[in-house]
Amino acid sequence: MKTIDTRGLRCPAPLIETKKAIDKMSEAEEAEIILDNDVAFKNLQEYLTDLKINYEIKSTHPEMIIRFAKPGEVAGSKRPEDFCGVPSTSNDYVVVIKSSEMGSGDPELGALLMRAFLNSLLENTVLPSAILLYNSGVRLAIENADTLDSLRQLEEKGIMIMSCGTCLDFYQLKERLSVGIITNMYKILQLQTNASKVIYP
Amino acid sequence: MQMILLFPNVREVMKADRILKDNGLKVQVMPVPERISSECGMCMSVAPELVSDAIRMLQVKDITVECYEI
Repeated sequence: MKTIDTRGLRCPAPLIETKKAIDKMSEAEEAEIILDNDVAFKNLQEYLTDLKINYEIKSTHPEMIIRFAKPGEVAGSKRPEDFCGVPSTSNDYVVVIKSSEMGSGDPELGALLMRAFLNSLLENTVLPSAILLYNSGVRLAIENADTLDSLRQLEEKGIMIMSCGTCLDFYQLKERLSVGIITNMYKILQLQTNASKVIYP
Repeated sequence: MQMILLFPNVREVMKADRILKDNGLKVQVMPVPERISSECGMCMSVAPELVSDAIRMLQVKDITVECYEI
């Protein structure tokens, strides 16, 4: 019997070690996997189920021990990493617009691309939780801006539109802000820290 | 129903955008729908009742424009 000690390892390492061992084992050979991590314990069981391997839980305390015998054929469609991902929530990302243009280069092209970006975002199946606007990005949320309608529609879909107060002040646009709310550096930092992804158009 | 205006290239889109803006006509810039072209092109979406006005304003300025219903 093979013993694979994965104590101290975090997902997906225990699953990868298990897979390596399985590949080296001969048919009907038995293996015991020792784990000390609840998440890896749960994920390994899902992984073995996907591989169509019948396993037994020999112990759950103090360490967790899973035992199985290698079947004749090991199927399985997914990689170990696939069992360890954090499930993505639908709107766990924020869009940060740090200038009124998309990318750097010709300003007129950049402005056109930004409008197209916002209109595409409206049709995206996965919407962000917030759109943060700073520096010249705040110009997009000002009265008469040609991006205003798009931002309003995004706001109606439940997305927070937040403009940097210092920037509105600097460009003297505070009175003309026409969509969303005014925010500060703490909030801008906090929203980006908490998001699993940040998108800069 | 949505009407879109297609142009030969992005520079024409930008010219058309300026012309229509000067004429007080509202358009939405958007990427060309993938089933029309897989290239990264830009087009404009216009309210159906404004399409004929828009085309007239552009043709006066020699802009080549095609209209699609999507």
